[in-house]
Amino acid sequence: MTTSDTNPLLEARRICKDFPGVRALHNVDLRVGRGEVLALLGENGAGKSTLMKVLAGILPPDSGELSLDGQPVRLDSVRTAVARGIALIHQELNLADNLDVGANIFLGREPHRLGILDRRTIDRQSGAVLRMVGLDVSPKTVVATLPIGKQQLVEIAKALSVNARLLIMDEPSSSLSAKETETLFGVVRELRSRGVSVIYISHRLGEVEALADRVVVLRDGENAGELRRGEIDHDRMVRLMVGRDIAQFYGRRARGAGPPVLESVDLETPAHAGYRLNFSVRAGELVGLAGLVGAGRTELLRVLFGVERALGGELRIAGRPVAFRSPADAIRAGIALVPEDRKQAGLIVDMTVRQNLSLAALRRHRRRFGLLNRRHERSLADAMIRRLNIKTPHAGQVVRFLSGGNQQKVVLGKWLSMQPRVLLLDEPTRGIDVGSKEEIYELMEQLAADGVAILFVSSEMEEILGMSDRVLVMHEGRLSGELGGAELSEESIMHLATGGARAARES
Amino acid sequence: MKKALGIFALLVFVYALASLLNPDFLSTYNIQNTLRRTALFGIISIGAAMVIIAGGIDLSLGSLVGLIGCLLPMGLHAIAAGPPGRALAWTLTGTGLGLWCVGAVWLHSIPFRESLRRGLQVLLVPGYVVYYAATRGRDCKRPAWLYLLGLVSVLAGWLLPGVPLPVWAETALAVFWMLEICAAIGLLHGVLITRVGLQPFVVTLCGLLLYRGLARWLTDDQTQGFGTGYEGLKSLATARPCSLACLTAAAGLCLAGWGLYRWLGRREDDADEVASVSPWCLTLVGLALSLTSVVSWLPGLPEAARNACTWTQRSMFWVGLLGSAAGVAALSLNALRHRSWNVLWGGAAAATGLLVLWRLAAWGHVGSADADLAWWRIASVGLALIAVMAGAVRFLTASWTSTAGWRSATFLTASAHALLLLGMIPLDRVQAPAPLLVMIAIALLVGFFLQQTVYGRYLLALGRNEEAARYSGINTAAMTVLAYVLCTLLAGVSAVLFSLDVNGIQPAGHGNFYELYAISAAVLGGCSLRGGEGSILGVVIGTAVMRVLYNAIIMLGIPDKLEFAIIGAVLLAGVAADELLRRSAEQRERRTQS
Repeated sequence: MTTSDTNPLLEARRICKDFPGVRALHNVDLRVGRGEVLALLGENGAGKSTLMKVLAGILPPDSGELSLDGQPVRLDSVRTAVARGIALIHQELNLADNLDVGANIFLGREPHRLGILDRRTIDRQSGAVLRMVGLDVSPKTVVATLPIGKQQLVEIAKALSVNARLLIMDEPSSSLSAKETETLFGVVRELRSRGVSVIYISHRLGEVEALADRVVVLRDGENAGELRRGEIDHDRMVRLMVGRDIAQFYGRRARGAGPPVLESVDLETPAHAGYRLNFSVRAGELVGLAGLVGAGRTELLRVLFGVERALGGELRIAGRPVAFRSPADAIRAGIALVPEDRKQAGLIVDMTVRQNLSLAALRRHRRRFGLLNRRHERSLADAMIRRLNIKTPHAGQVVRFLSGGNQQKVVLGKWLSMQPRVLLLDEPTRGIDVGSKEEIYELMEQLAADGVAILFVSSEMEEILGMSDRVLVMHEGRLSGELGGAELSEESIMHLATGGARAARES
Repeated sequence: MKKALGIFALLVFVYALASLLNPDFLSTYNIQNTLRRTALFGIISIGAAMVIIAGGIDLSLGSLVGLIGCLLPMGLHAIAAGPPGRALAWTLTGTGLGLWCVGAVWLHSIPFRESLRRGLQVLLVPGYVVYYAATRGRDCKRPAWLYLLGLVSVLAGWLLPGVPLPVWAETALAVFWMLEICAAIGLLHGVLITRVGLQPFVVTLCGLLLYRGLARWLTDDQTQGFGTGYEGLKSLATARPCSLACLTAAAGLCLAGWGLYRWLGRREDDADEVASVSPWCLTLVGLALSLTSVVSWLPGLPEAARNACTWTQRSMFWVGLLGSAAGVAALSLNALRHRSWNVLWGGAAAATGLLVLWRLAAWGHVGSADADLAWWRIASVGLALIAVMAGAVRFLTASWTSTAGWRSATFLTASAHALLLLGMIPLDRVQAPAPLLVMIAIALLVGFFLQQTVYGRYLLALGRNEEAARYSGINTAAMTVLAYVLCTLLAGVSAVLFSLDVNGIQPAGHGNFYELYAISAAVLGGCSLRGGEGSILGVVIGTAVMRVLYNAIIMLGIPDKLEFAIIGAVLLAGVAADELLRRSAEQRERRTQS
């Protein structure tokens, strides 16, 4: 389809948007044709959400133009955007789940007579749009009782009822089961045949291949390339997203691993009691922990670090059984955790770089009577800043003002100074620019080469595939399988992550 | 340091205003009184600041002061009335039991398949403790020692023969009991908050009610007093060991010495420490302070007449005046050169306000008791006051830029203002009250603890972000308990001094609202109620502001009814100004980042 070239529905030219300290979008162009499914790809922090917020009227662009049907337009509020036919469906659905379907569809623009709701019109018109998306529930159904997949269709119906011509869907399938995703695809195709355009944001490259007419890739806030129908394939998409060949980017050279440092025997986490987890990580090994959101990966790391006590089972560090009552015990045993939310649990954002880097090591290097060892603190901070290439004007800079990538490096630096035996990473590169990502990957490689056992949780398939020697896959609290070597692929991981059973291995 | 500057400017303003409007404010008696009250409230404010910095709050401090105030005389009488040596026995037993319980609780918290039966075993059977400690190794050594020490103390207390004690030992024991009670209460607060998981506000609110009720019940609402005797103890609160000039001379020497120490051990990259000031600055101020303090004692100078200015006062005043004038001029010129409008606006506002006040005073509209309060006069006075206050604060804090040179200049100007203030009182005639020395010692210790020790850093981290502190291996529960215990201990010290300060201790009212004063002083001094922020210097200056304000209200004849309103208004203004300043500083920082 080449409707995007002539007479596009929406055209965005040279959009720029800056936030304090971060350039989110720089001269981004986007064209959406009529009745087209456009996939928007990019890593975290590439600018996809910002661009969508600009299109949906949530954020005003700093510069650039938008035009709809060839006419220049200014979307200064969500209302304006909706009035012009642009609707955004967030990843976390914006439904009032205590109200019924009809009320949600007409939220904010309820038909009324002298202030009294016109229930009949609501029911009639909701019924019509619900039929359009193929959802056969009564408009009087309370939204909270519907499964997530159907809730999403309610959102789409809501968008259609305001005569949306452009639907922007942000990671719609992230919380859907496989079957619900198929239904969603059907709806999207139906919409396309009706002439409604869809911008589809997703990390699931398989879905993009199946659904999209065109793919636009953003990288670091700029256009990174475009692929048309015939050109869409996995490798090309990754190459555009990452900027270079996947094999080079994640240059994991398999190395011989040492003895097992971290062993979990029948470990039961409090979040998913009843499931016993058995696995081990060797010195010098990079083990990835994959799974969908809610599979229990973060909870497992928290039990390994002593934040929560295991309900049962045993943990062994270098062969010695341990029972952690608090993170302090785990740290003494040589374990370090880089948490998922670095601002909440990884750093003290109002303290300086130097203070954050030395926080875990203070006790070890204190002087008599508990005095701070400022000289050591200073030298440690300088050493870590140099080693990790942390970009900060000086070591006394408050961490709040650093970029995400540099903040993550500060967290890593804090742990490196303790020389841990086991490093646990929870989404180490979430929300980080590509340059820092590379540096963190290099660091992980170096640490593995030095004999540190690394267990990292990641939701990015490329990262898991590219950096792991082995992958442990979790599904709803249990370890659904372990993959290594040749059997490591996106399909096999996804299969295990969505609950598929492990086929018997032919040895 | 920046916040301390702001509150210091406020202090200068209030002080200058009070002394302008009623010269009696600067009389020896009044200054001594204010110093004493500042010291007493300063100690309890430092305690409150510790807890606030750790992210909690303690509302029970006032009631604790009341309780201790009632218990101290009761304790003294009980010791004096009983057979000799019984007090020591009680002390040992009580302390021993306390240690026993702490040890038992600690041991119980180390998991060994928790069960009530085992808990009782630990409490009742010492042998089990020894066995357990021996088999479980390193972790259990410390609580086991505490437990055993407690056991030994209890036994000693029971078996000790009656030993006659000298009077000073009896009073020391009584004070020790009070401090123990406070520590136990602090421990209780800490345990309830960390182990049981209750909110600090709720726990200490209940404490407020409980301790007041206990005090009233134990004393049967009778006014308590020390009677005759206990001169030694009373002197703790009423003695005047040295003159203020001695104190300032010593302080000046210490400051100069510290400056020298920093200069000698200097490191190259100290420049990026935003809060630091050049060492030579400190030395200069220290020398100026100590030299001007001792001028009166130089041989060859004529003795000053009764009501005339002493030589010390004169020299300090002039040094302060010249220094202030030079400093203000230098800062203004610098602001003009760099076009820092903040500074200039601040200075202009302060100057205009002062001018208006001066004119109004010249027309006899301000400060005269029989002036009729026409609305425009009140309004103009009020506006002028606000202008001067805000302007002074703005001027000083905005000059505190990130350049070391101008930070030093601001520090010197502020110090010159301090000298000016000090120069308005007859330093060598004013006697420094003993509580002031206690407060200074405590402030130095606590300040040192917060800034220079690992545990102080842990407290600051814990206050800012408890989760991140825990994830970095800090034992947040232990640090929280420590903060609460230190707070109540300091409150106990101040309670002992407070009770010695008044003639009769009324169980229903003694210490009422003291926690509010303490928290206000801490907040004024820069402790954010969110936690993790605050300096002891700021807290001390905050206490001084509140006391001077209170004193000024009395001196100016403003009716008592308005006292709370004025203090509340000043507190609100101070906190609001602080928040606005913080936000604008953050925005400025962000702009320089991007």
